[in-house]
Amino acid sequence: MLRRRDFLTSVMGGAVLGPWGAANVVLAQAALPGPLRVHGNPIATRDKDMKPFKDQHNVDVQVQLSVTHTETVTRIYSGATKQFDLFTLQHPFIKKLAKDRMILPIEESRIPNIDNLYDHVRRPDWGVHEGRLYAMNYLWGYDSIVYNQKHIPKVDSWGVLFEDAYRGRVAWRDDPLQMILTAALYMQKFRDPNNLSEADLAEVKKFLISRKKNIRTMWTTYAEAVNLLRSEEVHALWGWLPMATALRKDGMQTAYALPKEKPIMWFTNYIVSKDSQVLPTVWAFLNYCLGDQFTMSLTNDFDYRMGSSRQLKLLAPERIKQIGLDAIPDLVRNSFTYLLPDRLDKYVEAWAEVKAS
Amino acid sequence: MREEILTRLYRWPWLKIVLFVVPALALLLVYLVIPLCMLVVMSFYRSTLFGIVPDFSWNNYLHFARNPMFPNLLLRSIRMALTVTAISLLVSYPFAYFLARATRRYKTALLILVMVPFWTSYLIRTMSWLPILGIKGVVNYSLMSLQIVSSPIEAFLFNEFSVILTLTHIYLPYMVIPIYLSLDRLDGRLLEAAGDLGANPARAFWHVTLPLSLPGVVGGIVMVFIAGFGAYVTPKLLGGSSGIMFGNVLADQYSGTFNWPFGAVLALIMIAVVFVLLTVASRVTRLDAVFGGRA
Amino acid sequence: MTGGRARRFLIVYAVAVYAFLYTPIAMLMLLSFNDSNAITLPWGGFTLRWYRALGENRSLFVSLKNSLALGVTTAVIATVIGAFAAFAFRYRFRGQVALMRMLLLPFVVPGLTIGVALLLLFHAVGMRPGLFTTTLVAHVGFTLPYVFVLISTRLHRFDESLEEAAMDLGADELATFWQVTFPLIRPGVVGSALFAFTLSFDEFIRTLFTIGNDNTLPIQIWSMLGSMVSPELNAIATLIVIASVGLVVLGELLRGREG
Repeated sequence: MLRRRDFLTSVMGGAVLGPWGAANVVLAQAALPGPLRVHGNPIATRDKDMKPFKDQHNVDVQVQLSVTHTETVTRIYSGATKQFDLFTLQHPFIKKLAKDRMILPIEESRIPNIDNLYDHVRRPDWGVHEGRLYAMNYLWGYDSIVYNQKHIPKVDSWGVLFEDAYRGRVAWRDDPLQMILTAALYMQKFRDPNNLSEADLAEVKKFLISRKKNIRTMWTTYAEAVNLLRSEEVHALWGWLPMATALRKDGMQTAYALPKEKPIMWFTNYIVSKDSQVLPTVWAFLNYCLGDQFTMSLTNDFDYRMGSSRQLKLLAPERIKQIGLDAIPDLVRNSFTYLLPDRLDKYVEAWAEVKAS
Repeated sequence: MREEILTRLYRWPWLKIVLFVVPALALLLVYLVIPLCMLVVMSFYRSTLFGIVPDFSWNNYLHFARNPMFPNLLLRSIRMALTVTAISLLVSYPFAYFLARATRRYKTALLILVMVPFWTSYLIRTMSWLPILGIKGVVNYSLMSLQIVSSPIEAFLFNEFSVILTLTHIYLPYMVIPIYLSLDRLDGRLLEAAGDLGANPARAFWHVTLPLSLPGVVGGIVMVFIAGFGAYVTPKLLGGSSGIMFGNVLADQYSGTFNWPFGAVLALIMIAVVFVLLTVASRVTRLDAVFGGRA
Repeated sequence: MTGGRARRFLIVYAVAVYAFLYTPIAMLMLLSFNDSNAITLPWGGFTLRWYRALGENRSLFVSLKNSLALGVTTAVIATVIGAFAAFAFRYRFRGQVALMRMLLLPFVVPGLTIGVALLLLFHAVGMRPGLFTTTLVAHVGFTLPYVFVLISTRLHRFDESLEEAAMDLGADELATFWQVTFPLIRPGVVGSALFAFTLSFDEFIRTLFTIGNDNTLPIQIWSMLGSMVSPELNAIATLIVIASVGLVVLGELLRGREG
């Protein structure tokens, strides 16, 4: 019904405004088509960060919150490209989506701020397909260990999650890919931890089962992990940087480790739906997300490493050091970027067996 | 006009039945029949990463049969669901009896108060157990202050106990409400009459109250058992390192891998198990009669 | 009952069960005033900052409004359809047992499975996902068996002599229904509508896969707790509990004044 009305108005508008067609084009360039429908992470789509874009371009931004990356992928493959213009998604899924033509390449020339991107996310391997960029990074970082320095002074190895030293006082994350990868990195004997053979996978599974006795529990949501540390139910857990930040604000001595067996690097990106009808708005929005306002809002609230390298120019030197933005090339070189294994189902089943044992 | 319609309805009772049943049937077609057909077809497909190849094979079923983890988890789920059902029944019956015997004008209010806790989010409610039952939680703090224990009890959380406790909490209304609804039909005077006729309270309960509440008890058991059998979020959040149930491996097929065909197999097996259990149970408890209106 | 002692026991017992039901609720309410970035103890001091944070999060109230509207609509539709079906079962008809099994079957189909199946189905027939189209279908389908069971337990061995008496006295069928039948089953209707609302209001997984471009409260909560600390969610839950209990008490007071 609505569509038909829109159609009628545009036809009638065209007929009436015929003689002023040229003026019309100018107007159309100023006003962006809307609404922009975003399926996104709540961090990337907070009301206060969407408002400046809406106000500046006088366009509506509708946000549908995403829950997990795999659920987003499930929705994309079952037709959600018709519902949304943009999705936020982590890097390992991008190439496959591009190959299956579910997403559009980023039109870099339409995004003036694209050169703000850090070098390592400007044209990364995982985001380029047939020579074209398919993902615009806005957030990146590494997974590691968040720990309570009151009980554990220094952590520099994944071993704290597996060895007997802190038995019962550590927690894993309930995630097949990440935990199997973590164990594989720690064991330091596999050629490609991203793609373990069945024999290797069996060995990692056996290792995880043998070390399960050392953990208190496994967490699923971010909030649970923060709560476990805050109530001192555990002293160290597989976790994310902003957890340590949030707890430090609470007066706890929490730290974020840099394990010598390499931390696990991730990149969260915007991808463009193949069925988007409002591409001019999409490019303007992506440009906004690489702009200083959006970048600094998230940096200041969460200590996140953003896609835009303008962080380095706008932050005070001591903050740059505190967030760990001072030696990015070293960090990138010494991290391990996780990717999807060929046999994801084997990983997931192995993890189920770990939990069922 | 109205007269005419009513007369017709009166003359052809089957018309009334059809009219009564059609809305439910239409909904079941969309919500149940078509999705079930899709499941059955899909269960023979082959899954690739993110994709489904429509070729016919029994591989998904064979995969289920080959890994003993699946039947083991199925048994664990049945055991957990039975435990939760039994505890809920024991806790709920006297409580439902209280609701049914409460002063008439407060009944609805008391009933709503049973449900209000569940108008908060499941996730937030579940997270609230940590500060209650954790090592530094309220319960352990109290036990240690009262010098009942010398070190905190870790067994309150992240094991089967906490899963059963939380599931019982969540499913209590599933048991309380049907029992209340059937007990509430019971006229207080009926019991008084039984008392006047010399029946002692226990006999009156056994011969009058219990039989009348049976439909509610059966309804509650069916609802709690099935809900508990399919639970997967609670075991994931509170089950600790070994607490998963059958529902979790099913959820993995959708949210972990993209193996919908195997997910379909697991769902069909789950449905089949419950169906068999329902059939056996209906032999024993005359389940069909409960929902068939007339006994 | 042998009067006083049994009655007192029942009341004490009921208070204990209510206490069990409200234990986690009391904790989550307490935590909404806790000056801490985590949603747990230790106590970091009293604060209202999470309530102030609520004021900045308008989308949370939009989600709440969506959830309320969806819950009420689901409850009304499911109760009507479920009551109709339960009424049909007062008669004997062919295929009755099969239909009963079918009505109970949605209980068993796992939420994730049905969510994905519905998603594929709706896209296949070109139905645009939306709160009051696809999600409503999922919610009504999900709650229908519960409503059917609850109303059935009420209708079971329903005393038909009352209805017959009314008819004998010249009441037509509709009048008999409204004046005799309905008052007798009203607690069942109220109870199952409340129950359906409760199920719908907190439903997550079936919503996630069938929703259009809106959020419901459970989606917002799962999404937020998955990637940030947000004790303001406890604040909104506290407000919901206080408002609900307040409405119940207010309703009782108003009724008391009338009577």
